[in-house]
Amino acid sequence: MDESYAKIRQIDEEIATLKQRLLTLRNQRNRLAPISQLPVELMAHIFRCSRRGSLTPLSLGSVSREWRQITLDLPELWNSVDRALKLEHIPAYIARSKQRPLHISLIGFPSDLHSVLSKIGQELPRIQRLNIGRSSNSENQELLSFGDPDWKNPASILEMLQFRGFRIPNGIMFSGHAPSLRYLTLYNCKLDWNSLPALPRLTNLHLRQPEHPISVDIFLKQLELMPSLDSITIKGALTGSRTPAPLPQYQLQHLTVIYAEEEGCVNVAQMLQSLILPEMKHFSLYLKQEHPQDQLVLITALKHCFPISSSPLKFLAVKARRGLTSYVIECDDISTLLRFHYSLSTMRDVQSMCLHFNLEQIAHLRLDVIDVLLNQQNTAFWSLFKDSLELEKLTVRNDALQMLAEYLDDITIESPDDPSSPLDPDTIPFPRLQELLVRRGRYPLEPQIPFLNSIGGYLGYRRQNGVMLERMVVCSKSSIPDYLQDRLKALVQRFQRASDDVKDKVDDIA
Amino acid sequence: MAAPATQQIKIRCNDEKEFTVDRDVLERSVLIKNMLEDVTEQQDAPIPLPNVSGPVMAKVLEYCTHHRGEPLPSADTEQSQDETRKRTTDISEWDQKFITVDQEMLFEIILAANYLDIKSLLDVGCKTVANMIKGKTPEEIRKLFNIVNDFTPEEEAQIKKENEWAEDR
Repeated sequence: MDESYAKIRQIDEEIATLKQRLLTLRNQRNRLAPISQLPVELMAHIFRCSRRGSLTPLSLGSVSREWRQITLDLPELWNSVDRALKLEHIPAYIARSKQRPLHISLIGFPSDLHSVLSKIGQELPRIQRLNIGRSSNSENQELLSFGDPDWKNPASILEMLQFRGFRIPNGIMFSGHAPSLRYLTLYNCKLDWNSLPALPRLTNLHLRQPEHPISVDIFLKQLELMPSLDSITIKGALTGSRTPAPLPQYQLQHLTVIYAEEEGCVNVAQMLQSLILPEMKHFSLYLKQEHPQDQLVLITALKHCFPISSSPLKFLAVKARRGLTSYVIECDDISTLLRFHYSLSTMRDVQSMCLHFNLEQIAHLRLDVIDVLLNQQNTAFWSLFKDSLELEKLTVRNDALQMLAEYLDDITIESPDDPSSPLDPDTIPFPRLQELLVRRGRYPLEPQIPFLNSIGGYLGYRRQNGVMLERMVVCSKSSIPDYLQDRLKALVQRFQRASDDVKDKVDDIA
Repeated sequence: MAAPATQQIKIRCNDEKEFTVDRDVLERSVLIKNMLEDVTEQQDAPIPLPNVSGPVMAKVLEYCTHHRGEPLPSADTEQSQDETRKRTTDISEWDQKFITVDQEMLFEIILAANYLDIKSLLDVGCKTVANMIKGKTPEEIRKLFNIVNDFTPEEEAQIKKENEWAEDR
């Protein structure tokens, strides 16, 4: 019996030796493979190149012992933590990234996110980008919260922070120390806005749907602590009053962009009234609901913010959706716009409308208008833009062509009997127009033959005055029927024959 | 004073194969550029390149000739482009065709680019290998590069556990 045990032991030892030998041979074999000619630093370079896509350091490290050692020696492979991992193993990634700046993106986890909040809080001093919270489709869930003292750690190198669905206790934000923060997004968070630290380098602020809207005066006071702000996006973030107390004036020296999407315009108007924005270039406002009586407040605020003498504003967009029964916008003071975008495409309830613009130097006009809403306005609508002397590009949905056609007809019908007599250039609508883009609308192009006739007359009228159109693009939902194609071709040929200096062309018939 | 662009330089590879090449083509290699700058007198003796074989050098010269005249990355741009280079695996169409070679040649080109200090070629080579790896399982990668699993059972178990982290999501 003893002899048998001894034999078994001997065999076990042999197996162990053979296993060890096998591993050694496998290892030797790997070292002879062509790829093993590459030194470790070049393999590391290849692994860094592989970071994008489905490859993780885990799968690279599963190929062979050598590859595994290379991945473990490269902390930069481990410093991006995202939801491809299971939460409980995030600490391993954090540990393997050694002292590298961390990029953490954990959006969409349910409540078990709590399990790693403390660990992440401990690493705040080396987190460069942090994007954390619930997914946007879980807005009805309870807010996440952290009260851990670790979140009082200073965030010395934090550049980008996005919190979604968090309850942020007072005074816990990095003990007021986030000197490098440039991008801050707070989405559906509950926080005392006053408790945010001073953010001297913050350039981009996104504030979306806080649990409780912030009053305009408190919001503005905090903006003063963000002197480098370049862009503000607010969405359902503010609450204002129709009879606000006068607020002090705040100057945001570097602010160039405001994108606001709010229920009504009162709070936005109140904000604009209190801001001095010497570098403002882009203002977009999207109103979900509107009360006609508030519009004057908005107009006054726009005038205040964008004075004719000094505003460098290049882009203004005002959009609104359901709820409007009448709409008045008067922007006499905005004359330096390069682009103007006005969308009425979702204003289904509008019955009457009055627009007063003085956009003498506008270069690019984009209008989305549904004609069924504006039948009452007809040519009067387009005549609002007759002072657009600098307009070079006009984009219009084919829904609105009927109105444009009628407007152009009204103008061009006044051609003098004697073609040799010079016309007053001021009578040409859009005299500098170089490009006309007809975008797809709700209808196919077929009902728009009157437009082709009118545009034909308009182009002829321009040619008579030595002004050509560079480019015309007509997009249609459906394929263009033959008879319409013929009409378009005839339009092109007509102008090609008419001028030696042909510039006009139908550029694209899609 | 800078030498005229048409100056011809001779190089000798480790298999005694010699090439006579325009100086501006050779200067895509920072190693050779520095060597040439250090030599004040014009020398007829070929520059020895003991780490590169003739066939590999021919490929390298094909690359350098195609990209001659393009600006060499300066120290500043190199640093700023470094991160971008690591992240993107895009390769131009010509470079892709050029680098479509067998694995052995591919690795030889990478080694030569590293030795000759031709950063752009090194990137093309490394990105090509990265692209070959992309989307593959560890087993597929082993097959691709003719390597075998050499983990101990303990290491294997640890790796299996780690990979479950990722696969569960």
